[in-house]
Amino acid sequence: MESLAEKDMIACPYNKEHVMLRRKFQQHILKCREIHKDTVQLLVCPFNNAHLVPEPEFHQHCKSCEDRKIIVQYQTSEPAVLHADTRHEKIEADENWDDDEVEDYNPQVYCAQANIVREPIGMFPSERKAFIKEEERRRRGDNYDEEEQGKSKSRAESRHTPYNPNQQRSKRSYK
Amino acid sequence: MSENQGRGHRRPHGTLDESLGRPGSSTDEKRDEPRAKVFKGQSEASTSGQSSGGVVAREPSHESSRREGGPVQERQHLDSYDIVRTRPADIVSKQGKEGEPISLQSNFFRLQTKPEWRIVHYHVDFEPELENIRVRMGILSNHANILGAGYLFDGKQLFTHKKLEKDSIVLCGQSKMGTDYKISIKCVGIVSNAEPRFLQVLNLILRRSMKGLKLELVGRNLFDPHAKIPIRDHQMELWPGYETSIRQHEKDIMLCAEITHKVMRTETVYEILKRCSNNPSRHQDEFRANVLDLVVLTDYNNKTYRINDVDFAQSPKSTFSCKGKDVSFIEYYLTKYNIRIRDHNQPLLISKNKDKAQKINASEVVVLIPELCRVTGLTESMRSNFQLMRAISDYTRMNPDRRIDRLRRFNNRLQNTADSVKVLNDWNMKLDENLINVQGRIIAPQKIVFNQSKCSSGESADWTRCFRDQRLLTTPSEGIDRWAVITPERNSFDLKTLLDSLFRAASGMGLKIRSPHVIKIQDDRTGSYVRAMDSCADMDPKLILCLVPNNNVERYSSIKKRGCVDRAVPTQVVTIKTSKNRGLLSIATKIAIQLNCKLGYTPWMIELPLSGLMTIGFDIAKSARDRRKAYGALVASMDLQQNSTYFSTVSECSAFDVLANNLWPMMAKALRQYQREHQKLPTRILFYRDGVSSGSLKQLFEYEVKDIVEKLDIEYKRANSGPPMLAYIVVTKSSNTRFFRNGRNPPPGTVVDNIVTLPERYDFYLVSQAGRQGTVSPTGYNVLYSNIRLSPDQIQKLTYKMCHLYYNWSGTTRVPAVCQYAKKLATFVGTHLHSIPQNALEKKFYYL
Repeated sequence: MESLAEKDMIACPYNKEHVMLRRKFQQHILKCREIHKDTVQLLVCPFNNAHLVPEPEFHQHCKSCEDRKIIVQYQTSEPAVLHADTRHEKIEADENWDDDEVEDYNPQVYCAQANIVREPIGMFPSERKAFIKEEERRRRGDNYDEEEQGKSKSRAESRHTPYNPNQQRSKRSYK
Repeated sequence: MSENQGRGHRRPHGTLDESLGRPGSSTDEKRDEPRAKVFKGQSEASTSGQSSGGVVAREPSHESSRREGGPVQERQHLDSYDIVRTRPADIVSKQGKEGEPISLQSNFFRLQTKPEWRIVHYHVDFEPELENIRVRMGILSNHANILGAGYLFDGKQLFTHKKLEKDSIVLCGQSKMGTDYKISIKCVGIVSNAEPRFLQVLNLILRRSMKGLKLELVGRNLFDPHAKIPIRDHQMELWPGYETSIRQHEKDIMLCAEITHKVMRTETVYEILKRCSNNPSRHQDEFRANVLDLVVLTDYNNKTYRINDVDFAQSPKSTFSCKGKDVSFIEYYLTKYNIRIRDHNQPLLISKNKDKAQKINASEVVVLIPELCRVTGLTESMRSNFQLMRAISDYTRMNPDRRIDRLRRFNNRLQNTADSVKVLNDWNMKLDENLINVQGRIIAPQKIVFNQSKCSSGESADWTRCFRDQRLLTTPSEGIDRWAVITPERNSFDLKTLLDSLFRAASGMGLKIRSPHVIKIQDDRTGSYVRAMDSCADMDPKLILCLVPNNNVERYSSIKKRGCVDRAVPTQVVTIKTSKNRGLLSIATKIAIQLNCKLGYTPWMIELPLSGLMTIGFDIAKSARDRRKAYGALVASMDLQQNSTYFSTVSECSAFDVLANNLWPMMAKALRQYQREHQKLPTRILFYRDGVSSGSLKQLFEYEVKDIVEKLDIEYKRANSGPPMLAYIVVTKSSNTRFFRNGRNPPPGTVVDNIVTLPERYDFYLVSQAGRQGTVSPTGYNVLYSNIRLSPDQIQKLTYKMCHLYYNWSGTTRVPAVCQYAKKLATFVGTHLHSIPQNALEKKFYYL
């Protein structure tokens, strides 16, 4: 993988048909591994997250991976010498936070209740549609569906069928 | 009944908003905290009591300003909030509370009215293909009667107020050249103001109205050619412009406006061609040397390209195949863009188009005509021209008051120019006239800990003055006793002055330095220095100082390589100019501190109220030699209460990857080191990730964060230690947000964590450095993952404390010191070493 020039294409390990530019590789892997998580079993190299290896070859790969040198060099060379005089007496501070335990903030909790626009980033298209629909409902209340159907469809679609607010209409596709 | 019910149920939400910030604090007009709508969400217990919702809706007394109007929004569902609120009412917020409050202004304008529209979104196709967006818009405008008065068209997408008769329409249009086009318009959907496309539309509207100010689109932003600033001596112009973006912020939708400048060279590539020598043999090479790697802008499609090659064999008369026919460049540009090429004999420029490579032809190249290419950007030679850079920075580096003034004028123009106002009114968009007010807090100045006493960093976060009376925190107990100095024979006297100052400065700070072993070399060639370094290997020096005549990069790199890669000896390179400097004592002070650090000791520290904390910084830098390689560096602190040393490691990675692949092996090494020194794993880990843009946050989370959290869990279980507590914080240096205090820069230590932050993030802005030139840029911190169980106050304070520990600077830095070190190390390896340094140096700051 190292000797690629910028314009070279690389194939996805999950599906040989997927060919992409080297710099899109990581993004692609994120999506493809979700899709193929049940079908193709690939193990991740412990030295480099981009190395995805099928199980039978895994052991061999670990022994010969190029990035082993990160750890091997560390293990086989002289470690840094520790001098005692690099230590000093404990620096006392005004406060002591050691025993503090505060709950971490989760922004999604606020977002789920606030009157703001949320973005569906990084989702698959079907997930996006579902998210947007859900957000619409949340923001506008239960009557969203009714209103939507009422206003737009009455003009466009069938004048022939009597207007029925409770009928499930075909969904618009949000591109 | 309704009143009580309303109040009773609204109060918990009242507290929600209150804890999120003083209600209605930062804006001028009196408006209540926005209603946190009761979340109906997935609750199956769908309230059949909808009618009660209608009753509660009549609570307008709480809403003095009916921005969001419409009865639909005010409906509240009483019963379902219980289902969602599983947390106690004392809800967690991302805002801190401590610190001196400060009123700031920021370069945002609030959107006053949130338009209550339903916009219909259409997709427009032209047949035959028409590239030029302006012509597209022109043709479509002929059908304005069908589309309605106010519509938005950006070339591919169309947004209108009212729905057209049918979902799919075909129209006919004719361009000025007489070509007939068939326009197909297909309905894609409805955009309401609850979805992200709404923001896209707002941005389009703003763009449209800015065009009414006669601004031109260059690249992604709009610039004002009428206000251009010529820099005659260098044949360039500076075009001032605005970088705008409308986003959903904490509570409101706001427009962020930032002044930006574009360097436009007044010449086209054709003119460069003409300037090259007429000598035919040299002409081609000279031209090539001048234009290679330039970024050019083509006016007709407003795209930029990088020139990779020049083709002298071809000319505009040459033909290429376009959709099956052979057409010459002259004809092509005439029909497609309506441009006449004047010189038919000029060579052509080749650009390898990176974006399109994904599609069919991986090696598709773009051929450009020099006459139509305008040069942008600065060349290397321009960048090293100090006068030029100073002239440019006079205009671009604006002081806060000037910047505020420009922003106000922009807003003024926008709201008062007839053309732009019309567009805004058509779409019912109203912007605030004033910059938004923000409440920030100033973190108290930190105490800097030296060997025998502590010194306050003061309000300007600078403690250079402390070196006169203070001693360095830790120094080698026997001092620098065994070290070597290499100097050319003829600079022996300079060496003596340097060493004298060095001894004086160091002894004043408690650092003992003995006389070094001096090696004199006959000349100042690189080879001589390297050989001299080898010759003193026997004495096993702790440090080697090289006196060099100038900043020659090749010599510097060779010395460093010898010292860091081939051996494990820290080196210090000093130029002769330094020793002749009049301010030698203060420079000697800095050198002495550097020497102390290179040996692995600590000049100063801050007070840390948390034990068992390890702070890690990570950054990436590209290799100067090989475009495909990059180096990722990780710097980890020890616990900083009894052990103020740092562990630095670097590894090679691919320049194409945005996310780091070998983060875990490096982190594992750092954890091992901590364990070696403290006999246990760190209780808490603060991880600062730099070098990544905010566009890749989701990927960062999926790829890096999840991986690290998993592996940390395993590692801690294996060591029979408690669960790991990690906070993963993404550091952004380049945001468009600015803060001002009374027309001046905010002081160091200013924190802002509401109003202008983003609701979907746990983020805050910190101004850590003292801004001396121009307007200070706050650094954005985004806590992507946290189970560290510290309050936002504590995280903000810790981050600020970490900015005091960069030992090359006796003041605060823009990013936490660990990130600054990581960046320095990565660039050091990428520019000079080109290979991984020895492990024995991992606890020393050899790269400083």
